[in-house]
Amino acid sequence: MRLRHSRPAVLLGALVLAASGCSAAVSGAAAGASDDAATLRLAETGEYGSLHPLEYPLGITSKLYDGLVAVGADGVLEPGLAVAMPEADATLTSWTVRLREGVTFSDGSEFDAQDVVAAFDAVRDPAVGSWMAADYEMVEQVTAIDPLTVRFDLAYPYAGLPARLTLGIPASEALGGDVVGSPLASEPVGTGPYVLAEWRKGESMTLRAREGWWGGEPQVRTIHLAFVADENARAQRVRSGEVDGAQVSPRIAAQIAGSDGLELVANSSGDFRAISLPVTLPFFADPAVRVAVNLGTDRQAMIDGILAGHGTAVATPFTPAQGDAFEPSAVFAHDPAAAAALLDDAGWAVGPDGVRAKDGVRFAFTLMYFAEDTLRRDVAQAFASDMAPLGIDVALEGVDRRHAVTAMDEKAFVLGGGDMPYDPDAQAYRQLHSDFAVFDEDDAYSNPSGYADPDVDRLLDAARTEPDPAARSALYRELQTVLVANPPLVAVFALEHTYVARGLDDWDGVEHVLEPHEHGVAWGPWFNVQDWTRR
Amino acid sequence: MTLISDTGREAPVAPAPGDGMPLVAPAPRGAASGRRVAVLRLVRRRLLWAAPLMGVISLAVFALAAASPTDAAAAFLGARDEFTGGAARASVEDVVTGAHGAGAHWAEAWWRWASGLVSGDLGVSTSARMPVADVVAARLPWTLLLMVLGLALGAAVAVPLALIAARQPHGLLARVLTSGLWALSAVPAFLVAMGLMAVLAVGLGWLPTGGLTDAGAAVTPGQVGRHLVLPVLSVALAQLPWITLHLHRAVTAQLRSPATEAARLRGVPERQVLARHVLPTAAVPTLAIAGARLPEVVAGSVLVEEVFSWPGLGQSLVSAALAQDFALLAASTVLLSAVAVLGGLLADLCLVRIDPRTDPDAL
Repeated sequence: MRLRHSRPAVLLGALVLAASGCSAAVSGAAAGASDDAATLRLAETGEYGSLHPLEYPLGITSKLYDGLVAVGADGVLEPGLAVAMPEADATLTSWTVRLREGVTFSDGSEFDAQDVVAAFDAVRDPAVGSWMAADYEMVEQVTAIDPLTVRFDLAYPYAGLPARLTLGIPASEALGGDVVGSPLASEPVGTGPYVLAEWRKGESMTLRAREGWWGGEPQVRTIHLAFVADENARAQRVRSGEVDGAQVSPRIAAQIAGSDGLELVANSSGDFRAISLPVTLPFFADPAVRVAVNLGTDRQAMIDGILAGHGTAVATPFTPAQGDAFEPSAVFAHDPAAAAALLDDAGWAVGPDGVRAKDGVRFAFTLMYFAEDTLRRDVAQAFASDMAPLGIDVALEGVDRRHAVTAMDEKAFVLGGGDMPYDPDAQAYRQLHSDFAVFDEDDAYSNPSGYADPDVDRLLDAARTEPDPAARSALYRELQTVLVANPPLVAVFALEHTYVARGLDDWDGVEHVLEPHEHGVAWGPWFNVQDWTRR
Repeated sequence: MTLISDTGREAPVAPAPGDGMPLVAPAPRGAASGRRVAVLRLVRRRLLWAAPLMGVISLAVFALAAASPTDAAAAFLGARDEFTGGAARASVEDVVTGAHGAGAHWAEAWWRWASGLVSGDLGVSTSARMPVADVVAARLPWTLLLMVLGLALGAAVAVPLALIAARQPHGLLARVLTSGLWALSAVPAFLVAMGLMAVLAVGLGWLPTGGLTDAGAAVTPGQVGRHLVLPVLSVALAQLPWITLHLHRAVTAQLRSPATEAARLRGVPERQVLARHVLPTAAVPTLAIAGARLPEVVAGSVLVEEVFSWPGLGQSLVSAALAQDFALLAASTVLLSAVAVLGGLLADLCLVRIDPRTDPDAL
């Protein structure tokens, strides 16, 4: 820019700055120089809508709020605001949680059992409008036994409760009204390791380590998050050294890692992609056909091609991340010949136009994906081209969210799963149980295939009420063998979420974590940044 | 892009002021005050028109947004939509559409919005989760700063370019310049922005790649200035072609006009011919078009804001449209329309000032 031309413009700029920038300047100055080793600068995938813990249970709110239970290294649940993991009675219907003493909220108020009761009452209250209400339908009552003890009474035995207690607990006084109107959306009051120092809407957010956090004083004092929705712009910012890390797709991560001091960090996840097979379509009513479609899908080619290798083939909504509950032998080989033979046996013969048909019905269906989601689009395209040589005609349709739910019963859909992978029940129950098989637009993503199998129902119900962890895992492993014999969908892969980061070597305590569907820089190597110590 | 017709109105190319005649004619006193009254009449007429126009525009925004297939609850939930089970989704819908106005009939929602407006209440944005007035106050200055600087820089570069090209209209330079500008006008603004970022920020490391300031740094003129360079360059490059090409055409015509020839014949130095006779007259049609093109400038800077994470109004306008955020959508649309109306008025006032033969009552 030539100064000669822009002098009046600079004056104008200074005026506008004076008008709009003063409030920001006060808190911004305290954030410190960007070369400070205790400052972490990250490029986030986009603006946050809200910091309300009843809207975002994990992710960035986990820096501002603590749950009774926390997600630890490798995705193992550990006590957070609870002194020990929740204890259930023999029937699994009554759970007792003992709380940490001397914990305070960022506004200085004391944390106690009433705050826990208020949070779990609010998340279940339809008037509050939390999208997670259905996840807590088993909770009948939450009671404060004394200031440091809370009891959860459940409507039915439920072994997966600890994973649901990761909900961030806000100060009960701050918890008023519904999630849309709540001041918590932009003024968080939690017990977490960081507090919100500044939020420049549309541009960035700065978190500052909190004095007197119960878990110690975080050594990373400042976290600066720049909102950069465009992935290329994000990659450029990391490369230019303006930020220390970002979440990027595997391909871009592989391209830029290794240079500019950047390393690639990949975390496994419960985040899977699958294709629903609506049983209302005549061909998918037959389990043998659903097996054939699974055998015809080349999962490894999709992983190599779409994810640059950063993924794991899966045959069911269970992923290796489920540990003991994962059955490694429950897999589908890629075997187009066997698939074709199964289809022949089922009476779906290849017609003159190359497409199979039976009793005048062509084996042709529509596969929907979210139009803006390139990953799902790629999965849909790969699946359609795998099906073509089998004589199955798959038409692709990019749709918006509104349309997806209205057509879920008659069109296949590329699903995303795994919003709560820390318990197998949360990962799979709603996807598979026949209670959710009847199509309902308000609940279209639960059991989208309309699948019903009494054995599957029995095993799901037995596993959620089984108090012994080993016996519970055995039930889930058995379930997966049933699912391979009678598949509800084509589970394709579980993703690895990929990040580029620099400077991790300066710190001890950088761990891997198992990530849910949701991800961003609150995850990756930074998920436990509050526990890092300088090397 | 066509030169004139895209504005919807052809600017009158006024006859050149005669040789020796000062730019603003020293008209008799009575005529001067009559002219001032006419200008005031023009301003009043435009502003009186603006009020019903804004009303109609806001009504149309509410009606169109209500007719769009976007679902407020799905937009509110975003990616979480997929994990929201049964009854929970219904209660989210109640909360989003009920208490916050999106559920009412659009005319009713408009009436509520419009009557709030009268008492100074712009309503609450459901996508930004704060009062619309706060969103606008925080973001509009940044958008204006970007637009004004971008336009100013574009114009500042366009003038010499147009003059150079017009001096020898069939010269190599002119041909390279005009064909280059035509090509540039076809490149989308965000591509220009990405290219600038790749070269100047990542490749050469001279400038930051985006944001308002360095990570966590205070909002100081120095910081913002550095971060402004690339976005402003992008906006300027997007505006440069049409300004230059318009100006070039007008200057070329003006250079050959009898009045200019007459001035030259009388031995007026070439510099003075350009500065006093050619440029002001050539600026008239360009200015008229500039007023009408302002909305396009605003729209173009939305993408630039996105690429450089510039916290302007453009970003929130897009999210408001996607989220059925009536209040924010209507406010931003009306504001941007007001910018266009005022910009048009401003351009006409300049016209009246530059060219004494313009009749304010006819504008």
